[in-house]
Amino acid sequence: MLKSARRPLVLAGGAATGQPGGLAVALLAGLLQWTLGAVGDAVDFASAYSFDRLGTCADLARLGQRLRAKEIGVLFISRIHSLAGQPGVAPAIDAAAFPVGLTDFLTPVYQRCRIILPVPHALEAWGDAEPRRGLLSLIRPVFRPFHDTRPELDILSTLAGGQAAAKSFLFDRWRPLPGGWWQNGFHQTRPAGVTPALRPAETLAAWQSASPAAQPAPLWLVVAPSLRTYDGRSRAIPLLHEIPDPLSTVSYGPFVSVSPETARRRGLSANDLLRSGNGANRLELPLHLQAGLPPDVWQIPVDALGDLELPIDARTGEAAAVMAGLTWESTGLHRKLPVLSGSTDATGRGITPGHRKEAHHHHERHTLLPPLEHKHYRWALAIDLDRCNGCSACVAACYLENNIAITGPAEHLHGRELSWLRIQPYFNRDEPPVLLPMLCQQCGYAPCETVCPVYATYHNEEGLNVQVYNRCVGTRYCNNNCPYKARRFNWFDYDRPAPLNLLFNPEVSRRPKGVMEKCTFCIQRIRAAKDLAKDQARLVRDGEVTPACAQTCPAGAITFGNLLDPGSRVSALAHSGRAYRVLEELGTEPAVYYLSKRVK
Amino acid sequence: MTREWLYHDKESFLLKLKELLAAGTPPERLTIMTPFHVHEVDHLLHLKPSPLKIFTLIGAAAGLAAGWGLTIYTSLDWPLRTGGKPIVAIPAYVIVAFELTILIGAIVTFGAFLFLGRFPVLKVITGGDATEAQFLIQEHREEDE
Amino acid sequence: MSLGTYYQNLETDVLAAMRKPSTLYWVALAFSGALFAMGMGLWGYQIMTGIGASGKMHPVGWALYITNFVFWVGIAHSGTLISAVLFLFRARFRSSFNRSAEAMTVIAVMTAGLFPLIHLGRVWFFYWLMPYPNQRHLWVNFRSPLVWDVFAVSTYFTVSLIFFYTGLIPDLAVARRHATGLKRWVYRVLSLGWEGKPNQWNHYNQLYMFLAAFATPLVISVHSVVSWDFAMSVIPGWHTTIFAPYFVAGAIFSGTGMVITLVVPMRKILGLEKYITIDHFESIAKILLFTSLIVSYAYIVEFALAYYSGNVFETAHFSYRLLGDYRYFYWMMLLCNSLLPLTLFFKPLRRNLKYLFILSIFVNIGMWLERFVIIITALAHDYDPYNWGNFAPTLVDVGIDIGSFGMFFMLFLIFTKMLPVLSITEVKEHAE
Repeated sequence: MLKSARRPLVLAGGAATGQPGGLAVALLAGLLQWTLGAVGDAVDFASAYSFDRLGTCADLARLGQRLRAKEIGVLFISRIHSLAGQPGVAPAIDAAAFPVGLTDFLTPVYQRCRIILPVPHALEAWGDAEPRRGLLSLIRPVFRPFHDTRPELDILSTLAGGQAAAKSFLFDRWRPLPGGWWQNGFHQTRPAGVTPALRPAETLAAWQSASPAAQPAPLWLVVAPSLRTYDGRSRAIPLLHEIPDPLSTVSYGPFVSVSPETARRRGLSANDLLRSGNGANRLELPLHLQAGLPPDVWQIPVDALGDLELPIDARTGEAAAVMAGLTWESTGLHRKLPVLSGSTDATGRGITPGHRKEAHHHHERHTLLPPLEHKHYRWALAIDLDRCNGCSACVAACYLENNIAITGPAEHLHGRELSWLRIQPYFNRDEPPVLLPMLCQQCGYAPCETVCPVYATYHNEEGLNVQVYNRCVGTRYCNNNCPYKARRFNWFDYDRPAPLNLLFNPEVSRRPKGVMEKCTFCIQRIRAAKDLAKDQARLVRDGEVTPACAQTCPAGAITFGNLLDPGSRVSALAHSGRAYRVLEELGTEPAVYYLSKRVK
Repeated sequence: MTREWLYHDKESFLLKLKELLAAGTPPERLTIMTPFHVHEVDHLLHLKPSPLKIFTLIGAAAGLAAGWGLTIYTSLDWPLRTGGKPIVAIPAYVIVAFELTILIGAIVTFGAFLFLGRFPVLKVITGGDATEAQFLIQEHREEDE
Repeated sequence: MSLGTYYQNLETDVLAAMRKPSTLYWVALAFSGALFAMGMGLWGYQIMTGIGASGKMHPVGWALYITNFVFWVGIAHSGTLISAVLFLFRARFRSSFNRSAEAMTVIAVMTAGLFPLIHLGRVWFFYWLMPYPNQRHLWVNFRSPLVWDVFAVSTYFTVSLIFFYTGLIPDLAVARRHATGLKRWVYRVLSLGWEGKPNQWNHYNQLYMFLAAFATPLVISVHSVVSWDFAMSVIPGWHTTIFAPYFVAGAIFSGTGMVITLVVPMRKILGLEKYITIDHFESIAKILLFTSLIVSYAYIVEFALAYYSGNVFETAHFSYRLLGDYRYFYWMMLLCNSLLPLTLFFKPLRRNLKYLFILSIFVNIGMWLERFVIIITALAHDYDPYNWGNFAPTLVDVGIDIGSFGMFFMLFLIFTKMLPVLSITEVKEHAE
C-alpha cells in the first residue's frame, strides 16, 4: 500500500516510540521513509517547529535533581500548569532559594512558590513567538487587561535592564528587522534548505545500541496525552471538561480504560474504582470500558497520572508512553463516570459508512408529501469522515459561538449536556472505528417541525430548520421525534459567573430555562452574509458563510455552502461518490452529507 | 279548585290518566309530574316529539364548519412549513373538526334543552319543591285561573 | 315490598350517604388533600427551578408526567363507556354504576388536564397552545398531535361535564326535597327548577340520548388522539398503527379497574348493597376480562410485527423492552394486564368482590406500568446507539404523581358527600 501511494509518509511516535524498544522503531520508520524515496518530497527539514529551544523530560528531571541538591537560587516558573509524569519535580520547587511564579491562573504547581506575580492573558499583552523556524510573529493585545496584572515581558525586562514597558522592549528588538513587519505582524526568513542524506555508519551504530525489543509483558499501560488538556495544563478551563474525550465520551473526571473483554475476564465492571500497584504510587481511578482497545492493554490519559512517575529514556530524554507490568486491582468501591454515549456499537443501523443502507434514488421518492422547494439557497454541510480525527475543536467552537451553557459533572451524570455538535465514536463489528460529528441535520422533511404545537420550529425557505426561542413553550416533543436526537433542552437557567459572562457572543441570544435549542448552521453568520449581499444586490457567494465548526476544523473536514449553487464546494461533495446521509431511509431528507471512502 | 291524585306505581297512575282523558278533560288543565320518564304519557297526551334534534344538527354542523374554518384559515393566515407537510393538512384537520363538531353540538344541544324546557324554572327555585317520589296528576278547574 | 316503599327506601338510602361525614371520611379527605397539596407544592418548586428538578434527561424528554396524563385520561374513558355507550346498548346493569362512573370521568379528566401543564418547560405561556386571535398572526400548529390533545381533552371534559350534570338534574330535584338550609338552596339552583313534567322529560330524553351519542365517538376519538401523541412520531416502539385501538381498549380496561376499585369500598361504606348487586359487578368484570384480552392481543401483535418485519430498529427495540433495563416493569405489566385477568374466566372469582377489588388494584398498577414502559423504553432506546440513556425519577416526579392520586381521591370523596352516588331516577325506572 505504501509503495502504491503517491506521497507516502511514515509517522512513528506516541506509544510506538515511547517504550523501551522505541528508538529502534523510530530508526526503522526513518529508514522506511528513506527507502520509499520520498524524504525530500514528504518531509521538509527546513521548516521544522522550533523544538530545539525546548527542554526534554530528562532536562526536567535533571532540574528536579538540582533543586533537591539545593543548587538553585532564584527560580522563575512561567505558565507551567502541569508536571504530569514528573511528580518529583513539583515538591522540589520549594527547595529553591526563591521560587517565583508568573502565571495567569493558579494550579498546584504554583503553591510551592514564594511569590506569585499575576500576568495577563496572552491576548491582553504584547509579545512575540516563533512557531516555526524562520517565522517570527508579533503578538498584539486584543483588549486592556481586566485585572491588575503586569505583562511577563515587563517584569523580566525591568529586572534585566530597567526598561519598563514590554512594548518598547519588543519594538527595540524588532525595529532592525527588514520588511514590512509592522504591517503584516510577522517576519519570515526562509531558512537554508537542508538536503537530507542518509549516514549509514551512524545509523548502524545507533541501531546496534538501540535496546532490543522488550519481552511482551502481561499488562501494558499506555499513557496517552489527553485530547482536551494535553497533560492537564489547561485543566482550569471548564469548557475542556464539558466537552468529552471523543473516543471514550467521558467528560468529567480522570479514568483508566481497558477493553470490555479484558475487564470481563478479570471480573471488573465499568465505574469500578481501581488502584494501581506500583510500589509507592497509589493511583485510584474509576474504570472505563473502551471498545477498540487490544486485550490486556490499559490506557490512561497523561492528565490522570497523579503521582505516577513515568520512566525517562536516557538516550532520547523523553518520558515513556508505555509502561509494563503495572497491576490494577479493584478497591471494591465505585465512582460513576459521566459517559455521554449510550453505546458505541451501531452495527447494521445505517449510521456509519460501512453499514449504510442502500440509499434510494433521488428521483424515485416514495412519499405522499409534496416535493421540497427552496428559494435561492439550500444550506448544506459536507463532513469528510476520512479527514475528521475527532479532535472536537468544532465542538468547542460551537460552544463559544453560540453561548452554549456548561452544565457541569452532576448534570452530565444525569445525561443533560447541551452540546449542539458532538463527536460520536462507533466501534462496529467488521468495520474500522468511525468518529461521526453529529448535529442537527436540518431535515427537509423534519419530524420535529410537525409536532411542535406552537410553531416554535418550522422550515424556512432556505432549507433551515429554524428554532424560535421566544415561542418555545418546552413540550420537548420535537426532541422526542428527532431520530438523530440532535436537540437539547434547557433544564435549568444556566448562568455564568463573572468574568465568564464576558465570553458571550452578542450576536446569539441566550436561552432561558424551558426552551429547546439546537444547531442553527450559525444562522447569525448566514444573516450577516445575506445582509452584505443584499447591500450589493447579489446572492451570497460560495465561501462567504462559514459556520464556527467549519471555520475551526484544523483538518478542513467541514464544508458549508449552498446546495442550489452548482458551483459550490458543498454541491460537488454532496454529489460525489463518497457521500451518504445518516438514516437516510427514514425519509427525513437531511442537509448534512457525510463523505467516506468506504461508501460504495 | 285543584284536584290531586298521587300514585305509587306506574300502572294505577296510567289508568287514572286514561280515565281522565276519556272523560274529556282537556290536557292543558292537567299538571302531570313523574319521577321518571313514562313513554305512555307522551302517547296519551299526543305530545309532539321534541325538536331538540334540529338544534343538535345545527350545532354539529356549526362545529364542523368552525373546525374546518379555524384550521384552514389559521394555516393560510401565516403559512409555515412544518416537516414538509402541506400547508392545509386535511388529515390532521379532520381530527380538530371532528372534536369541534362534538363540542359545539353538545353545547348547543344542552342550550336548546334549557331553552325549550324554559329552564331554569324560577318559580320552583324560589318557591316550593315540585316533584314527588310518586306519580302526580293535578287537575285545575277553570275557576282557579 | 311495594314499589312506593322501594322508592322511598332508595331515596333515603342514597341520600343518607350525603349526611354528616364520619371520622374515617375526614381522615381520608385530609390525607388525600395533604397529598394533593404536596403535589402542588412540588409543582411550584419545579416552576421556580426548571424541569431539571424532575428526572427527565436527554433522550428521555417525557417520563412520569405524560405517563400520568395518559393514565388519567384512560381512567376517564371507562366512565363514559359505562354511562354513554352502555346506555345506547340498553344495558340495564349500568344504572347502579353510572353516576359514580361519570363522576370518576369528570374528576379523572380534571386530573389528567393538569399534566400537560406540569410537563411544559414554560408553563406560564400555556395559553399559546390555544388558538386565540392576536395582532401578530400567531396561531397553533394544527398538524401537531399536542394541539389535537388540547381540542380532544377540552371537548371530552366539557361534554363529560354536561353529560354528568344532565344526569344529575332529576336527582338534584330529589335531593332538594330532602335537604335543609343552604344545601337546599344550592340544590334548588342546580336542579334548574326541574319539575318532572312530560314535556320536560321529552326534551330531557332527547338531550340524554344525543349526549350519549356524542360521547360514544368521543370515547374512541379522544384516546385515539392521545395515542397519536406517540403514533405520529417516527421512533420505533411508538410509530405503529395499532396504537389507537390498543389504547382505547386499554383505557376502558384501566378505567373499569378503577371503577371497581372505587365502587367496591364505596358500596360497603355507604350501605348500598341492595342497589349495586353482585350481578352488576359480574357484568363489569366481564368488560374487564374482554378488554384485557384485546390488550393482550395488541401486545402479541406488536411483538409479531417487530420480529416479522426484520427491521433492525424495531426488533432491537422490542428486545430491549423484554430484556433491557426496564424489563422488570414490562414483566410486571404482563402479569397484571394479561395473566391475572384471565382468572376472571372462572365464575366464582367474577362474583367475589374481595377478589375483584384486589385484581382491580393490580390492573391499575399494570396499566400505569404499560404507559411507563411505552413512553420511556421508546425514548431511551431508539435509532442511534450513541443517544441511548436511562431515566430515573426524582422526588419531584414521584411527589407530583402521588399528588395527582391525592387530587383524584380527594375530589371523589367530596363527590360522594355532595351528590347522590347512585342515579336514583334510573334505578327507579328499572326497578320493575
